[in-house]
Amino acid sequence: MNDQELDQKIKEHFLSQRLADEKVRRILEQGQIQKTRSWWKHWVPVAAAAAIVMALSFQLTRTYETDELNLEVAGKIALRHNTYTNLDVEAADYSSVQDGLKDLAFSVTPLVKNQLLSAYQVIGARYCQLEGQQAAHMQVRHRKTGTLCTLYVASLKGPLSSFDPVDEEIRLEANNVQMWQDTGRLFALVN
Amino acid sequence: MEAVAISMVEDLPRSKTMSDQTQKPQLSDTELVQAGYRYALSIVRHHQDAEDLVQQAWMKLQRAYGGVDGTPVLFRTIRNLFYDQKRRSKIVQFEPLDSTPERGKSEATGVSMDMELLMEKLRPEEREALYLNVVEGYTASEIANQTGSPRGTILSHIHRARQKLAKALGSEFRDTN
Repeated sequence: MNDQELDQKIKEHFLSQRLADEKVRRILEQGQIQKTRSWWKHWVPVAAAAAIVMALSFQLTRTYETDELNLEVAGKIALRHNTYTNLDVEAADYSSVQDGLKDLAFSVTPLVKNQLLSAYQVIGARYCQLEGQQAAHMQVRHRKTGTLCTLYVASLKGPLSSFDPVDEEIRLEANNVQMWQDTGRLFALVN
Repeated sequence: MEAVAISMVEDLPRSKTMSDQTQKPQLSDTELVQAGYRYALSIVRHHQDAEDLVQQAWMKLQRAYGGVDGTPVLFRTIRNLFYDQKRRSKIVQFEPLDSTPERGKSEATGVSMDMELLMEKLRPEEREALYLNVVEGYTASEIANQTGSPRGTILSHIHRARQKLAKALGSEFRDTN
């Protein structure tokens, strides 16, 4: 037997090994099912990456917009602090302010940050508007330093309903504005 | 003598290069499954194990890539599955040299039982190399690349397998060189 004959015999042996047609058909069918079931798997990483990018973009945009709005509102309140000094009522405490500004639809008495605000003495208040929403512009004096400051209160309803100020201090060019939320109201202390 | 014979194996005209493989017409899915089955059989020698291997490999490739792109990737997947399973001891160990074939389980048509028995005398890696070289037309370098074994080892496997078969078939292994 020469090499060619040996090769031929080896080939014939291996090529005679066949799976039954029925078994081949079953394997192909199962493969087709796997293919159909898993076509979307190729897109999972792409979809996950897209979702992450979208979520990050959304979060970044939202953070940017919030920062922008905080800055804008703080700027407007600081402008009122620097511009208006005339008072509609003179009052020594919050309840007197409330009595004097009878048209106010919300309370000016703070429920949080009492420790911070205890350092200030109420002098008086005037009606004001912020973004078309009713507000109270109170003038307060620092008990120790005597510095005149503004305590600004606005209802977070209507146009300001989407405004969600975080408790933060915003440093502007001429003033520092500390803003926080107190039971549906915006409070801002400007000095 | 052996070195001469080994170099002859590499240069046999029947051996096609991998590029020849890619140039020849694409095999149909049925032909691919049959080729995968034969390759699996060259490794495990048990028809049921071979069938399981080709089925698992086929489904794995369909799941991962949505298709089977030729015999090299199918063979490699079968091989990897076999060695993975072997490592986990979930598949038969390499059978001893004197083991007998699974009589009655073969679905071969017109197979010489002598040849079947002779194949049992070969080591699995020798059968695998012989199959890839003689039937699939891979060169020793391509088999080495496919299996991750050194080319010299592959040449040795092919040479020894041919030598054993030739001797067992009652003839002297004859160098054509």
